[in-house]
Parts: sequence; C-alpha cells; structure tokens
Amino acid sequence: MWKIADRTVNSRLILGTALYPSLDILRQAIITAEVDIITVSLRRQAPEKNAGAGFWQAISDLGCHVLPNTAGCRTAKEAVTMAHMARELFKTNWIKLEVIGDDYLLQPDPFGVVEAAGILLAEGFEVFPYCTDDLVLCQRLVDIGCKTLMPWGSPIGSGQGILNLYAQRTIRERLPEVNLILDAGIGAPSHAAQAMELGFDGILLDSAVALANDPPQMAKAFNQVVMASRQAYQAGLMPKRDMAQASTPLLDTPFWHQEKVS
Amino acid sequence: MIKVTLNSERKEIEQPSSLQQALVLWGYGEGMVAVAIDGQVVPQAKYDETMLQAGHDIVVIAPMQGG
Repeated sequence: MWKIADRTVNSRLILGTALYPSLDILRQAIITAEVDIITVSLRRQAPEKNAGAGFWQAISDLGCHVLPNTAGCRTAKEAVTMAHMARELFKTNWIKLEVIGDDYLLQPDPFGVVEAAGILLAEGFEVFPYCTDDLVLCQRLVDIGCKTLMPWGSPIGSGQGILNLYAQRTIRERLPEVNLILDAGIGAPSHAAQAMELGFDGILLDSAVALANDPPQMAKAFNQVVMASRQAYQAGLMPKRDMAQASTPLLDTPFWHQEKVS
Repeated sequence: MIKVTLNSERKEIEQPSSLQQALVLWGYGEGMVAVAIDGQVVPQAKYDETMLQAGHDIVVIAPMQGG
C-alpha cells in the first residue's frame, strides 16, 4: 500500500484508457493489471452521440479512482477551465495537468504548467502535473505545493522509454519527499523497471498496453514488472563497478597463485 | 427567441429558458455531462436557476477515453 494525494492504494501502475481496440479489451486490461487508478479525459458531446456514456458505463463498475487529464490544452487558462469541468463531471478534485507547448512533441509548456498548477492548487485541486524532466521546473512545482510530479520519459506515445536517465535520477535524488510517477514514452516493461529501480513511486502508461497485440497480457506484464522493480529498489541495488570482482572466493582454490614478493 | 452557441454551433431557443430546459430540449436528458457557459462551469444543482441569455457560449462535455 502507498499513499498518493489523499488516497492509499495498492498498485503503483496507473493505466490510461485510450487507444484500446474495444471497451471490452480495455476492461480486461484494467482488471488483469489490478490497477487502482485510471486516467480519463473529456470532450465536447453532441447529444445524438452516446460514446461518452458508453465509455463511462464500461469502466464505472471497476472500482478504480479516475484521474482526469487536461489533454489538448495549450494555455493555463484552458487547462484551468478544463479542470473545473472535469471536477464537475467526475466528482473528483484530482487533475492530471497537461499544458502542451509543442504540438509535434506534445512537450509540456513549463511556464503554463506552473501557472495553472498554482491556480488549481489554490482552489483545492490535487494537481498531478505532466512535466518535463527539468529539475528546476520540478522543484518549482514542488515549491508551489504539488505533492506528485509526472515527468515524461520521452514524448507521449513514442515508446522510446527514458531518454535522459541522468535527469530522472537527479530528480529522484533531489526531491525525495515527492511522489514521482513516470509518465509518457514507455514502450516496454523494461522501461518501467528502469524508473522503478531509480526509486520512482509509480508508472503511468497507455499506448504500451493499448497497442500491444494482447493488451490484457501486456497489462499483466507491466503490473508484475512494476511490483518486482519496486521490490528491487527497496531491497537496494548493488553499486556498479568498472572492474570485475570475483563472486567465488579465489583464495586457496586449486590453481591459486599467490603473488610472489621479491 | 435568442441566439446562443452550443459546442460552437449556433442555436436558437425561446426565452425564457433555463439551462435545464435547454439541455432536455437539445437531447442531453439524463446523460452524464458537465456544462460551462462563457468558460464558467455551471454546477448541476444550478441548472434550473441558470437562465440562458443571448450570446451565451455553451459547452457540453462528456467522459472520454484518455491517457
């Protein structure tokens, strides 16, 4: 069990709900991965279309806490308005804050994220900012009251994993008190393991599961690797060395040669 | 009749009309939606007392899959 915002949950894996082949497969993936938190979004709804209702009906009985996002927002003002809508729609004060600064990379706008986070925190939101792996930006978000950060590993949906391991390690070491969720860019369970072994508190991903040939099976794989790599972090990884160090004691082995001293 | 916009589409509606009446008229009924007028979210409890005015920009949103 671990605490995230005002909740205590089991799973350290947070699943997105987009891009699945069907709502049934999405449900299977969520159930198989045993996740406690799923991300959702919101869109303009034409009355003749019932897609939103169908999606909500498909997930509402799973017992997951929803984390709405502000996907598609390009300014702090848009993100704040969308957060208000999400709070009204989903009856939660949690918000995954996205303010995009570049349309090609979907790179977070650090200035917009900080501005919007400050407004939403003052209004009582639990803000989960999607941010870059810039230490000073992360520090600023913590300074204004964010208790959870979601730095990107690489661009959303790219599957490239963690492009700057040094930056992620530095954030973890310099901000030990904050919950760190690696968000975006994960393509394989090994990418998730890298972050968890650095001491990240959780992983948020979508495409890597939704676009797998067998999403429920991939969801299970991510669930297992996130748990295993968290245990590894807690157990303490051995330090790296540049040279070999024999694991079998060599002293007095049959062909051991003591160094001659002249 | 007054003119408003609903999700960027022009609509005409009789006056006076409450937001609740308009949502039913436009087919949203009991659907799970949230509404903002001129960028301000209207709590569901205030749909009845919120009266539409000419030029209102109304946005109706619903849940969507997201990452």
